[in-house]
Amino acid sequence: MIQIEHLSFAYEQRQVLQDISFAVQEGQILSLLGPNGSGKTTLLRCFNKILRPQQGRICLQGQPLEQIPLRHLAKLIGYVPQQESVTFPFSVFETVLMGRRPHVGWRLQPHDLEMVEECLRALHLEHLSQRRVTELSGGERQRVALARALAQEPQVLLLDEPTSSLDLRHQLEVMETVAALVKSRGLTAVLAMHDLNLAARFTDQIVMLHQGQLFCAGQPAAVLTRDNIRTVYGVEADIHRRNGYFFVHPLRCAGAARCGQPSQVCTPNPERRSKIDSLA
Amino acid sequence: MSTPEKAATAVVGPMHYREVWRGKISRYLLLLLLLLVVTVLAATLGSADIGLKDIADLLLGRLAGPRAAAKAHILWQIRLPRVAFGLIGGFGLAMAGTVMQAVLRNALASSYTLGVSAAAGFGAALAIGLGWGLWGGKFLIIGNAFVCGLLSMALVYGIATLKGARAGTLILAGIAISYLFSALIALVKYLVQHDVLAGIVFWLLGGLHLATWDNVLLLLPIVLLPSLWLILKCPWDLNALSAGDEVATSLGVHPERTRITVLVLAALITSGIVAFAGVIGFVCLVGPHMARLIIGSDHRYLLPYAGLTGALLLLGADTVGRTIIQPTELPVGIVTALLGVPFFLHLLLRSRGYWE
Repeated sequence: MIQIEHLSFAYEQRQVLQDISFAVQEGQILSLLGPNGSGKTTLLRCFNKILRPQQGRICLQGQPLEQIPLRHLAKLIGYVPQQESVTFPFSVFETVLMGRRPHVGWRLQPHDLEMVEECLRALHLEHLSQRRVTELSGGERQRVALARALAQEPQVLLLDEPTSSLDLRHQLEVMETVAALVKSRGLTAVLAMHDLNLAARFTDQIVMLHQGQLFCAGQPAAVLTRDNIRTVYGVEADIHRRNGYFFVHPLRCAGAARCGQPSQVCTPNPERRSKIDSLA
Repeated sequence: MSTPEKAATAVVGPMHYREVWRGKISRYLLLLLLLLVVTVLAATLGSADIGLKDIADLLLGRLAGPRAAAKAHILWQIRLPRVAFGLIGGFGLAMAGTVMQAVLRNALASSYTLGVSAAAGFGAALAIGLGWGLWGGKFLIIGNAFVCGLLSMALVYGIATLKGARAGTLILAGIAISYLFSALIALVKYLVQHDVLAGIVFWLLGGLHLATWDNVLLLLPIVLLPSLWLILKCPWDLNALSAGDEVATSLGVHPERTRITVLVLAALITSGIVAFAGVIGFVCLVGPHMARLIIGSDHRYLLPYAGLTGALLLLGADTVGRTIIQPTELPVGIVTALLGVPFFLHLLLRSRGYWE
């Protein structure tokens, strides 16, 4: 579906991405993982030409992105930003309607309204349709942004840290929604993620970035190993499996050099360790 | 996700859209009605006594004699051009303000923000104070103000091409240029004689006293053509830009290209109006907000509505300004603020969630 070939990107002098290559399979959810500054968001923004890489290229169904006009690309790829600044108080309906922009002239067709209606329903936003976006909570806004991306009728969804500003329930809600949409509409999704457990649970493939380079890629179980997490995040972690789920349990910062003040909390507690291990 | 009873009572879809649409249409009709009333008032109020009946008689050719000729002259050559000028000027100022606020994603953006007003004022000050200008004759002041207004935009544009047309960059560049031209205006004021200074101050206050049919016909295309382009070509792009450059790009809009195009059109409109009417503040800043509070932020409806709101504001303020202490005229800039601020504050305090 999407091939990333030898992609490099730099902001003026600072190299952010170096020679990244991987592929996203159709119908899959792929997570980009890595600590702050590892290039997740930058990479995601290269997917729909918000940023243009200096070297390498991205192909969508075999066609290089630079050959696809922006307006046409907007019919293929929907984007949900991490946090959206709202300057003026658009209503929820109007915001989702923006997603029809690649498809319409000045006038709306009946199909446009049906699509907006359907996307509002799909994300359970019907009752908020006339509310101003400025009045909504973070989770609701995230759903509005997702509904707008869906209204583009895209084949690919890009989500930039979709769970980072949400509470526990809304995190699960967004991830479940994305997973359900990908399945029911045959979409492909690429997510920049911080939460290793959500990534492990909801995504088919993980690409781990480390200092702008591709560190490893594959299925969650293969990528989320203790060694990889220690190298990439500098965190000692335990990996557990229970009831078919896969958990990453962060223990402490790896190597005292990282924070210099390892406290009681960070140091391993043998009693608790054995308890957890016995549970697992 | 949502509670079932809420979802059950929700109304969405084409039916609902039609309902919202009806609400917007009725707001349009109300505004147009108000505009008509104010237009008629503007034509009938003034130091000369010309009533509705006189206008009807004049139109039907039933009035005769020397008094009729005088009345006809006042109506056709003084009042109506001024009404037309107020409508066109107000429309253009509010339109320009709306699109500037949208592409700069800043609620405080106006023709001041990008330095257009200050630059045009400087051009006029040069012409009035020192007699320097690109043209002589009756276009000395107008031409200077217009060209300087566009020049400020060219400066901002130049900075944007060097540094990228991000909203923040443009606002800072515009404010810097605005300060530069304000300083130059102050310099001209400092250098000239006392009696000439009064002329500059008067011009900078703004007003519609230059309204003649000739000037109206000059101004009309400068305001109307860019406005039509903005109304017909840009609403979807402006909506998308309000959600940020990244989202706009993902919706197929080139943010920087759109921003520059729209700003150049807005500067064209503003320079034209400021050249004839001086620096009229408030309408271009607050007119768009009033319209947004009433009709919503969707630029498909907002742009024409903001223009009409601006027309109502400027014409109304000008009419009040020239009749309230007859025969003396209050500058229109003073009246717009005195009348508009309370109304604007009322709208602002009444609405929820307008400012974050």
